[in-house]
Amino acid sequence: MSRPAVNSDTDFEVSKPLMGTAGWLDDRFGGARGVRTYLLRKVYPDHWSFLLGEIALYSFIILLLTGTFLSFFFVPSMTEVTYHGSYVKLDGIRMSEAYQSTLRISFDVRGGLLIRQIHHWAADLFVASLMVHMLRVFFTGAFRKPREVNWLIGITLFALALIEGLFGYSLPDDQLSGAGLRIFEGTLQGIPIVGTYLAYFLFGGPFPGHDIVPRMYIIHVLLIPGILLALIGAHIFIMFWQKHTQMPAKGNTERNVTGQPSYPYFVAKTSAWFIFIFGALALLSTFASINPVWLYGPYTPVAISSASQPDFYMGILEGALRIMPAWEWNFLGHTVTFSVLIPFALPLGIILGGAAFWPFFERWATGDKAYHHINDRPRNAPVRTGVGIGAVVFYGVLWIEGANDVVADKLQIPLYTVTWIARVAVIVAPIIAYFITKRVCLALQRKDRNELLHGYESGIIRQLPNGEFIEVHQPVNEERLAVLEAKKVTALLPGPGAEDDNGVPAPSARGMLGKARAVANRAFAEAIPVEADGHGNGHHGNGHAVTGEEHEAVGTPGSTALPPGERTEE
Amino acid sequence: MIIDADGHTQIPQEVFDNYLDKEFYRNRPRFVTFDDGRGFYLIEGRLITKPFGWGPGTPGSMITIVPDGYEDDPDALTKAAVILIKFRPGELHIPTRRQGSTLVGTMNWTVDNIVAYSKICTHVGCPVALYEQTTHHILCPCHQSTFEATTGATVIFGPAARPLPQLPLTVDSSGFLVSKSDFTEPVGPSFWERG
Repeated sequence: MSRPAVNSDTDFEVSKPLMGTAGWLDDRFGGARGVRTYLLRKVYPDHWSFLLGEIALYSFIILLLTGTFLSFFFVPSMTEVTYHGSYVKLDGIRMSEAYQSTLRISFDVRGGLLIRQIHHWAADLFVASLMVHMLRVFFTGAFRKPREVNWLIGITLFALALIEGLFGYSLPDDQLSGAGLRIFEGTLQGIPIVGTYLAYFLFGGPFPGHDIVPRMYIIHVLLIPGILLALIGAHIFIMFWQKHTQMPAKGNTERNVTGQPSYPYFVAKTSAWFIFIFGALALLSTFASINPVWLYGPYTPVAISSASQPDFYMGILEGALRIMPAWEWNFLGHTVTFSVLIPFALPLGIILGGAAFWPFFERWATGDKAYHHINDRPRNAPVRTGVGIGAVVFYGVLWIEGANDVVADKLQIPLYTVTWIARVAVIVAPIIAYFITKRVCLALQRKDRNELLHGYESGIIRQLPNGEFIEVHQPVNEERLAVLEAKKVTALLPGPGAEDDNGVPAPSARGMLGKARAVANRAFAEAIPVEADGHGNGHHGNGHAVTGEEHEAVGTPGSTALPPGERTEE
Repeated sequence: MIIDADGHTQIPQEVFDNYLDKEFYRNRPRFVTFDDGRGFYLIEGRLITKPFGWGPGTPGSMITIVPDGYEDDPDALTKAAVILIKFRPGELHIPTRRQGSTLVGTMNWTVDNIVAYSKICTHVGCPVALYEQTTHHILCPCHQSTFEATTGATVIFGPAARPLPQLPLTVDSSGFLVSKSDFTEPVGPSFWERG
């Protein structure tokens, strides 16, 4: 792909009317320099995976737009009314005003159903794109110094999005979401000591009461979106300030950012991307029904249907509830119900807590305190990739278990068998996945090493004079070489119980924690070394020769990574 | 719901009381109210819930009973929804269960192989709405807690830790099925203060 070479301010032209307006504003407020430097000239690396976060941003904007429209017509009230609207099948049925107004939006408000469906699809897309974006950041190590704070903000955004989604789809007060709310309330009650108080406080008394819909409404339309907006702002500002990470490629170093400037290239591209996402959501919402609440009927606590599933992002909690054996303690006149508590806290605790903890764990285990602006290829960080895939498998098992009745029905497996398989798989499968992934990563590293040392398999078969056939290997080109050479090997810290000549244990390997660290470090340091061999990659230490806590990850010589803000934009 | 031959959905009570032939009078449909305020239709000796289905006269059936006058009150239904199951003779094996000093389940609470359980799951409160006649399993569709109906709704699978509370049944002096008392334990999910 030919990339327009835009290297100085003189190279790009801003249209006259825009210049005029900008000049008028600059005369009054100043700041043109900042706008020019930080907004218009910001360099955007050109890689498809950088579009994932934008999907999340744009679906959030679409959520704000469609949500505002819905709020014009939705009545957040649990007052009972008798329905006499245009959906005749529910004529004469008693229901809450919330449900009635949702029916009105769906059947009587012009464009209401389409907007409702876009809102719901956009919510699913928002959470899904957050997930994929986070996986991308995790697997490429883009969370590393100096970006840990933005990583934590991202995790907070994700957790808030889950609550926002749960409250959003519970607002219509239909049969399905009402059952979900009951589960939510029953789970809250299970929290020791404060559980009943929490549930009574949130619901304004016993379930369901008349307060929960208006309360969820204000949390859903004001409180959480406000926090989301602020955090998204911070997320993007920090990203601007620290500049993007970039993928290993020719010309990309720890001291520069390469890509296209914001104006006009990125602006054009991202605007099109927004419109494309909006269009895709509109098409999806036109042709694919989502949450047809009129089929579920209004909520009543005595009815339920089989195959009741929440939205996909709640599936992990649903699965965790279903997988649990009946564990409950009664002591000193109190009840602790682990069959509710563990599903409530553990799976998301492991996934989100683990994700939040990981950058600091990795830093501790590798002793790597350097700045990182060049992303890792997942294969070059086998432990991280293995743990990530393990987490994905853990999540996936619980997610599928959340629909165990559907799985049992469709695959003709007994229901309890499905649950038992999941009970075993949720523990065993992530461990297996970790080891398989790690081995695959190391195998790919070997392949890379072969390519680096012996060139790539050209597909040309040549017969030697003695009759032997060989395949001609050709040296890789510069672009490929840059990618292959981007591998960094984790420094080896003193081993578990390692002692120096005087029998004094190394400071970093002392005590329980030190031993754990040394063990973790050994796992991280396992890599396929590339020996110096005249291919110009002699700067690759093989890891075994280098020890010491303060050692920085091996990089290109003379190119210690710069702090954010000091990198040149190219 | 009572449906007569000419398509009315509801016949005023006085039609049955005043215009039926003598030989049918004894089995006339009636609306009966129990002393705790709950009411049912009684048709040919069967208790009919209003408006949730047919009575427990047929062995093997499960019906949902809600207090009369509270059909549209979610707050009441969350606590008071009950399932009635009629068994064939000899199928019921409810042992006498005590929790501390409280009697929580007994054969004396059943009448004519009819037993009543809370419909609210002891896990997180979904209605236990699925019943398998051949195995006598009550299943909660939310998280698949499964209760053995013939032995006092004991848990045989899934995350629920306690049996469904049993509603004590008896027959009053007029021969109607009534509840002897309220539930003897809290219905619904576990909570800290439950003990």
